[in-house]
Amino acid sequence: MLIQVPGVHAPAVTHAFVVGVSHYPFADGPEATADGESFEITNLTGAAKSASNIAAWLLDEYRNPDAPLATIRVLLSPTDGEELNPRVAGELAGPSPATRDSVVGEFDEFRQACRENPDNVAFVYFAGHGIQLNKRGAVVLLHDFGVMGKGNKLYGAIDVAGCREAMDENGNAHHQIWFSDACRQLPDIARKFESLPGAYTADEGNGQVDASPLFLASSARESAFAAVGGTTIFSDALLAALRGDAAVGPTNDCSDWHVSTTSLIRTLQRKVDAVLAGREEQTIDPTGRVREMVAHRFANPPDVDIVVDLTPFDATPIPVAELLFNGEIPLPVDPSWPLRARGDAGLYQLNVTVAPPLTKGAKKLFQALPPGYQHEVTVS
Amino acid sequence: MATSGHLNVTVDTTSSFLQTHLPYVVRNARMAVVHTGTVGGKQIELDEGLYSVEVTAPNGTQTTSVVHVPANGTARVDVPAATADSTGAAGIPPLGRVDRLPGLRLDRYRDLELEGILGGSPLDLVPVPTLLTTSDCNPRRIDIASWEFLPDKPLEQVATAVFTMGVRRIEMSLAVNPLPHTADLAACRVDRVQDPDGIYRLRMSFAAGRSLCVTMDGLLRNNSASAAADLLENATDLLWGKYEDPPGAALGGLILHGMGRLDERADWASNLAHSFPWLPDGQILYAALLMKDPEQKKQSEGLELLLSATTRRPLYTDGLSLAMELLRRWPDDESLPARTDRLTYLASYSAYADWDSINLSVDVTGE
Repeated sequence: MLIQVPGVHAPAVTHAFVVGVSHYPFADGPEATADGESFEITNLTGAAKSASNIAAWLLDEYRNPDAPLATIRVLLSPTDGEELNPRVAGELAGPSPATRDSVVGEFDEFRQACRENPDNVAFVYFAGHGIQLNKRGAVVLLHDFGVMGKGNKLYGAIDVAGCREAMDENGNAHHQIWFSDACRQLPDIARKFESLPGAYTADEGNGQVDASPLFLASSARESAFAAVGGTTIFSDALLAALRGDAAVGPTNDCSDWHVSTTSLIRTLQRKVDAVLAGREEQTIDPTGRVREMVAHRFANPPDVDIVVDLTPFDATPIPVAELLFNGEIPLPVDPSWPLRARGDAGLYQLNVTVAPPLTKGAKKLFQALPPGYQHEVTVS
Repeated sequence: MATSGHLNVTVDTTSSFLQTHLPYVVRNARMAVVHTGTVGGKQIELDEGLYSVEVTAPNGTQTTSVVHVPANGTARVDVPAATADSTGAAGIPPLGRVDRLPGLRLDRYRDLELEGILGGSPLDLVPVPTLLTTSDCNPRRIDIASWEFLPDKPLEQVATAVFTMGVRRIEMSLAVNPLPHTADLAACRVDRVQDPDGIYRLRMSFAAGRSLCVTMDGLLRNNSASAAADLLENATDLLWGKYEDPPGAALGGLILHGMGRLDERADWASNLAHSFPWLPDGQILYAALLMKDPEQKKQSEGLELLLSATTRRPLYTDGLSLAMELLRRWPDDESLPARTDRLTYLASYSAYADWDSINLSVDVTGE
């Protein structure tokens, strides 16, 4: 279903395509078919909600002055009781299930819209059950996976990497960014899928675009995909990254703080690992045309929280801290420890002076980057 | 009026190539990029102030230093030799050859139930790997959890080794190089390593003498390849030419292909594919380029190569991935049965592959 952003008349724009499938009626539940059940797929709990959160971020927070957001095509198949992001639910006139027919139709229109200007930007996000997952490709199951009478078992599926490959063509949006947030099947189940043809993929075009990275997030199992009733771990990591955790400073190509291909590569796996804390595995593989591009721009440099602990924490007399941005601009700090300050992201010098009986203070140079900086200094 | 100073960036490595090709980025106090360059070059002039200097280290990790560039002075960033270099095979005394060890030995692995009763000892928490068999390579045990592997000459297929660790049985492709005359340029090794999340794994790495391979391996592990694209292009050329390291060149080729930077290197990929038929990854790479060729004849050649290459075990996980994607999407309906057949064969690897591993590592416990 198309959501058009009002008042956008820029020559180059961003078009987005967002799909989330939690509900698999032909694989799990009373309508399940023999084909669908044979793959032991169960409904998911957070894929549609996660996709709606990504769409909401695009509507309310995405910023690219060179190519403002013009449209989002959203297809969501929530399970009963799965609450979609209200911002997006309000924009949708009614249900917009991610069936193969609707995905193919909307994708064709999306591709055409992206082709209208090579300076356009494309943003694509898929979430759902994933099959045929490897370091370069992913097929995501759609709402009607398992439906009978379509001639092949993967009729209700889309080859995300194949669609990316198709849009990697001359004249299409020169900067595209793709995300596939997929729940991997158990090995014995996955093996059944590998040789099956029939997933939808678009016809390949000729040539290539400048950048078209595809981030393949592949959870080892459902428990690493989403908490019950929650959102997917990858979507949470992605939103945190886009909201600032992956922010990097200006470069020759972008005068604003921004999120780039490289900063996403560095941040996403780290954030997912932090959430999972070794309990499960989820790999994120960048593939596609992995070249630098700007995924999001910030209007202002981000602020960061700086926290510095003192060792020993009860040193007396209390050491005095001086915090200097770029080694010259002082930031106000409370005389107590831990030192807490909030300031621009950037480079700082911390001077800690001591009085007898303490004899050794500290000097520390550090970079404070989003989401924050925490470290310690030692005096003696 | 701003006063200026200088910045000098160097790395400690024995590789003359890396001494001058590792990239670095300098950002000012507001984190804006003010300079990009490669180490070992001229010192650069900067306004006095604080700067962050991010350097790609010889082991592929990214190191960041914050320095103060003084007025009329010079700040130095010296990146030390990384730990990956110091774990190489060179200098480790031989402990005797362990060829084709018979049978499965009981390993020490964590027994949670017993631990609950007796309490675990530190040693009991660490699974001890055992080498069961090798193919097309000779192992040399380095310590209780490490082996070095050298190739049998000539190779007719990718070398492999089967290990047990805990209850798991793991078959690994090994990136040994049959061409050079010295072991340090031919060997790879397998070590038990512990992930940051505490899980023990077996990990293949390149011998220290294969310094460019070590760098590429590290760039992949650290998700830093996109920050070092030019380095990768040059390193891949050197591995193919000067260092005669086809497994290393294939790894570089796969990384470059993944970044969309292999398109202009069709001749190079053709040579890799045709000169080393034992290395399927090279043929898969060349097939990927031929699939996009506008000439039908070239596309047919590519399909033939792909179908041939996918009857054998790839060296790299990414080679397996690329092969599967090509088989799935090759623009030719007539070949669908043959492609389906190959996909079925590769599924025996992919379903049980460790996707975090750079070399193909498959859990064969159930076999």
